[in-house]
Amino acid sequence: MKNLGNERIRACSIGLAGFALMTSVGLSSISEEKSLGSRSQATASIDPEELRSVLVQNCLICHSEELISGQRLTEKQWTAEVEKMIGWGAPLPQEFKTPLIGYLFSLYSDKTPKTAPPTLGVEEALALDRIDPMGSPALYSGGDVDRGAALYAEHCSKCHGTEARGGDLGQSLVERPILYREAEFAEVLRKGRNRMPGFSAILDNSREADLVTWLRSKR
Amino acid sequence: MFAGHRRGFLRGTLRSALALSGASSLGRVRIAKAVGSSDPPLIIRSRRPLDAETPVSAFTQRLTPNRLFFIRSHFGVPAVAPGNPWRVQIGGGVRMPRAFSIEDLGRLEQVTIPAVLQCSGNGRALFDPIIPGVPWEKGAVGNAEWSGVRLADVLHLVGVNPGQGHVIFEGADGPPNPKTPAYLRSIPLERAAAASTLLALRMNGEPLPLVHGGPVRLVVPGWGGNHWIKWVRGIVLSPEESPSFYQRTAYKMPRTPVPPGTEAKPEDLVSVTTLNVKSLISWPPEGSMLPPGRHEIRGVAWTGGEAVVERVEVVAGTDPNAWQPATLEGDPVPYTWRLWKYSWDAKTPGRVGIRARAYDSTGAVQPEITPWNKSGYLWNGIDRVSCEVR
Repeated sequence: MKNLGNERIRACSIGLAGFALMTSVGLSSISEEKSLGSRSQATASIDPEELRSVLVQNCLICHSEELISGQRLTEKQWTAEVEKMIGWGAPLPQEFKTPLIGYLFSLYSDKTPKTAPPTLGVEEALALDRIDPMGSPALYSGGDVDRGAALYAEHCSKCHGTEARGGDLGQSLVERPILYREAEFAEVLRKGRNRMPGFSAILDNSREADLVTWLRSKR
Repeated sequence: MFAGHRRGFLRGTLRSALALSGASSLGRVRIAKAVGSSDPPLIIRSRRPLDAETPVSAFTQRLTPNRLFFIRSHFGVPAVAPGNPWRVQIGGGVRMPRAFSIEDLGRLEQVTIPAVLQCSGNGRALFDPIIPGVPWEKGAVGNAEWSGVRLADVLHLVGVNPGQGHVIFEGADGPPNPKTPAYLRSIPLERAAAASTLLALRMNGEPLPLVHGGPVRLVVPGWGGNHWIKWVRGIVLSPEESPSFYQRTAYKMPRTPVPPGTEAKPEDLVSVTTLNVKSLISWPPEGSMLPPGRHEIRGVAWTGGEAVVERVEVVAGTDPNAWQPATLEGDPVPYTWRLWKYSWDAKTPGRVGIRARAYDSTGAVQPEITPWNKSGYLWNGIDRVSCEVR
């Protein structure tokens, strides 16, 4: 706590060092990524469905789509945004950078008519960030923190980082509301989301409880 | 381009207004009923992390209800485990580093300050040329009563060492990825030690909601929301400002205006600190249709720093220079906003532009258009709505 700023900076450089390792391991472990990554830049037009998949897998890991669809930018501005996000850890393969910029510009250019933003009723909006009441450990109670640590190291750390502070293919899981939104947590864990594959084959309620117990212990 | 953008915006809000009333032609009474009968929906700029804008129709009260208050998150709310009580750790250049629990803070003298919280990027979508970022239009602002402990009292307890110039704040909202910069910011010690700077525990009398930075957030009245750090967990006294991206690179704007679309040199940039004078028209809604006769145009006005709002003027009708004084409620005190109203006799049928501008005690007045800056901070152009008398 002596020097907060410097501690954070050190944490960042550790993350950078781990980048190459995590990327190589992470890419080969996800079959969909493999098919995307094998295309060369010379590949002619990429169909919109594939570009859509590039957007989902590289941009929607950290933020939802409204933030992208609400922008109306020039090609130069889209380029700067995509480059900034790559610098901040978006795992976009190099050969998809130019196609993604072109795709974003084709959808949301400075000439694209503005559309009304979505609205949500107050209750629905506030529910987005609500943490399930702490007192409803319906699925996960009695988990074992040490077993959870081992499970995490084996199955999650490659993408989410050894201390769960995020890696290049997975978000930080430290103090995330989803750790307390048990139904959502279970669904993501079992079925996967965006880049993440489902782990239903190797997990059961008890192992999930171990995992969540370890994750909840992280600061 | 500005006019074109405004027309697009108008069409959108007209559609929303129509949807709200469930009618194809809007009477004044029907609008008022629809808005007053239940909470208006929030405008969602991003679901994850949650960025939600308050519709201006909600700005009819001195205090913005917590449930309608805009939400800005860089990295989303942190989940704080039960059985792990919150601590605010104070360290760095202090004589007695110490962790304060919420109960510790609650035992210190509590003060309440009504103050406007506005995102520094509120109005970004109104700039031309267009700017990347959360495209806030008008409602990334609200006025609340913030209660808590003076930061100065806490600093007094730990004892600030000589040579300290800045106070760095760490929120619990960690970045999603080690390569993403953490949201760390600092304020100069002088501002931190001012009597109005609070570690707030309550908002409008309720425990500070998690989504608004609970259990404890920094409150810096008169300054932009980027300083109002949510979920404060660490405070560090330092001779220098925070070395973070969000302090040294982001939240900067040109010292003097630059031509729209151009960037100032780094040495010509200054940090965004105090808000500027601004008013919003909360009634009538954009795109509404009103019968001829008297209507009360209503709105809010505020300013930044230690200044106070002294005057609001309104023009409604064909002569764009026929500014008339509005009636201001409340006293001219810093930080909080003032409601205003203007009785308008809508005589002539047709499209009418309504505009409002506020003046503050420094002599500042809202400009037609705020000087363009590359990140779209501190928009305070004259507020406009368009309606039809028929």
